Amino acid sequence: MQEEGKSPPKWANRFLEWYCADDLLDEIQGDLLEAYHYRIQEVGVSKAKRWFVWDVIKFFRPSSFKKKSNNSTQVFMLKNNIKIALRIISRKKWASFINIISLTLGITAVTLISFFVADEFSYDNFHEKKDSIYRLVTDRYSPDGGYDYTDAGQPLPLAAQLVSDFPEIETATRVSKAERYLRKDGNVQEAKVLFVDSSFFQTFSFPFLIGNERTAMEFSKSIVVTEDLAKRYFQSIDVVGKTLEIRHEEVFTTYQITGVVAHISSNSTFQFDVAMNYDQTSYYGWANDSWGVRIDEIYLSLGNNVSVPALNDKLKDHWKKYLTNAVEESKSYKGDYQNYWLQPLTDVHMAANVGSSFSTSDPMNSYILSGIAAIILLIGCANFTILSIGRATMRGKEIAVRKVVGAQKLQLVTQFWVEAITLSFLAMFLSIGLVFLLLPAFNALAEKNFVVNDLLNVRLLITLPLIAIVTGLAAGTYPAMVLSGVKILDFFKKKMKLGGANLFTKSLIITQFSLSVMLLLGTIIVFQQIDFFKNKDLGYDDTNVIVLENTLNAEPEKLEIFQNILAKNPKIESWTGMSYSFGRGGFSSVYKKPDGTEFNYSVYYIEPSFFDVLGIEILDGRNFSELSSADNNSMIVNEMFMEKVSGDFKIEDNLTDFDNMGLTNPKIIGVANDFHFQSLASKLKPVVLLMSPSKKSFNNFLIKTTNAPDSELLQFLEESWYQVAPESPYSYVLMNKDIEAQYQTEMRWFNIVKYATIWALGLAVLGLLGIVGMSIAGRLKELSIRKVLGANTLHLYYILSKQFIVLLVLAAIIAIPTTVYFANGWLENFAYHIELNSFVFSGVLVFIFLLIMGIIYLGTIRTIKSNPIDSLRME
Amino acid sequence: MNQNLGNLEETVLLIVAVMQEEAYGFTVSEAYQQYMNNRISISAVHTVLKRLEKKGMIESKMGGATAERGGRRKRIFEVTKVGLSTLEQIQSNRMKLWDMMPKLNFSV
Repeated sequence: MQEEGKSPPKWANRFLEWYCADDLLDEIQGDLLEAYHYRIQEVGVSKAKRWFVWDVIKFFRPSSFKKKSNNSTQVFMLKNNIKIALRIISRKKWASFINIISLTLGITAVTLISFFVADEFSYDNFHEKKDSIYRLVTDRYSPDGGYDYTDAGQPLPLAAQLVSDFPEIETATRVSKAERYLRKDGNVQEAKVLFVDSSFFQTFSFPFLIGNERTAMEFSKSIVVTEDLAKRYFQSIDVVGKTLEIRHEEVFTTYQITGVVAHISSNSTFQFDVAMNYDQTSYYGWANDSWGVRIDEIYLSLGNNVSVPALNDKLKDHWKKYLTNAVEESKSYKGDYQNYWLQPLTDVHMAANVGSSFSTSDPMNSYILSGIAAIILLIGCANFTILSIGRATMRGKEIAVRKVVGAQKLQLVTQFWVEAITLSFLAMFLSIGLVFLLLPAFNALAEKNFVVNDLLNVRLLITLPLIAIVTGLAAGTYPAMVLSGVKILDFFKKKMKLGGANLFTKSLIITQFSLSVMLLLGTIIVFQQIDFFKNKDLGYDDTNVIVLENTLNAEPEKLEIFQNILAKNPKIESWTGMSYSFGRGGFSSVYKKPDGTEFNYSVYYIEPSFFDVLGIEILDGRNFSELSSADNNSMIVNEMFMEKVSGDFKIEDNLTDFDNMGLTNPKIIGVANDFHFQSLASKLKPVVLLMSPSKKSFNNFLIKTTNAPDSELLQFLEESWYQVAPESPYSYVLMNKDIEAQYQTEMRWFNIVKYATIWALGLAVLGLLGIVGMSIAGRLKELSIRKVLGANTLHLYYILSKQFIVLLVLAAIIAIPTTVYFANGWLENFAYHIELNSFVFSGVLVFIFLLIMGIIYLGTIRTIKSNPIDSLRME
Repeated sequence: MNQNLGNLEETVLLIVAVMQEEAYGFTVSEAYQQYMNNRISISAVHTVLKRLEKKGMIESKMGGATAERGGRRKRIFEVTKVGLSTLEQIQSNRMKLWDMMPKLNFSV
């Protein structure tokens, strides 16, 4: 026998004995043991053991398995059940078609939406240290003690201070982002830039193709670029040591590439083309030592075994040591002023409630979409259930015979389940095709970039059959239970009353109808709201206005030259510079009135031509004078500002207690009409318009053209711009497009609800077609007799559709209040919104009514018109 | 009867024919390694032997047990008439081709 420790691995030997058929054990185990015996001498014990295990694994194949003789009936029954299922599918082509299509649509919707949800929850999971990386966020409170908001902006000196104050924190890296212009060989393009500290690439896992994550960010003029950018600019990734020009502080500066990282996957919160040192941010110079400016985000890498709750407790009041002004201010607060806490990196993407410059996603989107997926699958399954129950009379004979022969209830249940699962597997294969067909449209809808190749992975191969099995079980359970419970005698005595619609199928139909009505109403309401956004009078005119990025604000004299060129073109009506174009944010502040009350207002720096370009009227008073210094202590306000100031305040009066932006008790020289400078989701706000002291404060430059700008004009603008300022990038957008872009989220929801509606309505129509067919088949004789006795077509049609109309009425009773509830909830998000219109509701109901009548007509007309003899003759 | 034999099948069949009486899974794989300078796993040998048996090229019987085999018996394989004639057929076909090979010295 073998010496101790030299015998082959016991577990492998036992495994072999477990799976291997007895009659094969002699040769297989014998050969392996013998081989092992000789190999010990040849190659040593450890290698021989490894080979033994490997051989055992290689023999693990069906040909060497034990044949389970007691299993064969079950396998046989399964095969038989599948065979019968396939036969029924091919015999009842119409019903099977409806079933398969219903399940296909359901599975497709679930699959597509599961891609979306899985992607949403996979954000930032690829970082190796993800479990020890946290973002520092701040809960802020209002003076009366209530919670105000949470945001991630932090002062610049804080990161380094945290590392020195807390040994638990290994590294801290500041991160912020911006768009910067890149130039190579005179070609200027905008790129996404990430500003980071040198520890960034050691904290986050962005693999380096070339270069080293430790040294890449050593010097302030070093940059790391992505593979994609390197290929775009250099047609190669071997670019370390090469240079790129990046616009910083209004001039192009040369930076050296020190590293290339692999393509940034779409499920990364940080999306960038270039990573630069933090000292290259536009605000570094003035904000680096300031504790008052909260502008960057701080990501901390914690050591091993650090208790996050304990660290949170210590961190909470850390600001009190450094923010002296805030400590002073906090004394007047009833409760907390602010609290720091650590947010896990993997929560960052879904933290839509935390103010951040990085794009986040509301988890609600995932939940709503999952809900829609569930609804669609439910409707699909409901179709299957309804049709199966409806067909019960036809299957009754089969079931009864099976029972007589001795089938157990469980066997019958299994049979129906197998039937349903067979169908859902067929549907699964169809939906794989459909998923890939719909992928581009889905990508546009979900704002994702799924690629077929990425999706064909092991996870999908496991998920899809799982979805198919669950769908099959869900769809097949009720029919299986009901049909297997048929009493044999009842059937043979023709007592069975399963055909047509029972309470369960009726409630399923009501569910389908009401979901269709709800989704259809939802689509129309969202559409109306978007239409309202587009057509509401905004108080200004954004047609034929071109918005330019003013990259010339460091060189106002060049802007002057550009304006002179514009003046010569008759197609251009007027132009103006302003601090920010509408819909792009801006400054705001608070005015404390002498009586102690206060209100918030927004500020725009403008020049006199502002009113011409945007068609805003000065209702009272006068415009600024062209001479900028003349009106440097005066302002124009909107109607709402005037209303808030109220009292006996008159034009040309001085506004007392106003000391802001270099103005002290300024004169109000004019009142302009109210205008919606923000999206219509926000209420109108008081606005202060100030004469800009210089063109430097203009971030945008607006041009009004006489007609819609054509390509010739756009080309003229670009050429003129580069003629004046070849160093400054030119970029433009049409103002009305820019304003519409504010409603992107709503447009997206509109599309989602629209497709869900088409999907659900399609399914409901299919189901209805099926059930109409079924109910006619059960009443063929009755209809024929009625016909013989003199009933006309219309009357028969009425009899057949009566029950469905009742169901529609019930569905409407459920659907309308639900829709009103949810629609009002959604509309409340917008300060300006449409009112629900009873006309729309009745319109939708009439539409669904006509649709149902149409379907019933299609489904019954052949029977109604047929010769009654055909169905009455007994031979 | 002329059945197609794969390269590996042919080699294994040859080995079985050569080894007589002593051909079973382990020894065949050892012999393969020895003569062909190539390693082959025992499970692969088993598959090939089974296939050859199905094609009627070899037949098998159970042999004796040894201590190295942990008391397990061997399945001993022997080449059949069909197997032998197939081998001869293959060999003679090859020889015909070899005879046609031009016996020329190649020089510049």
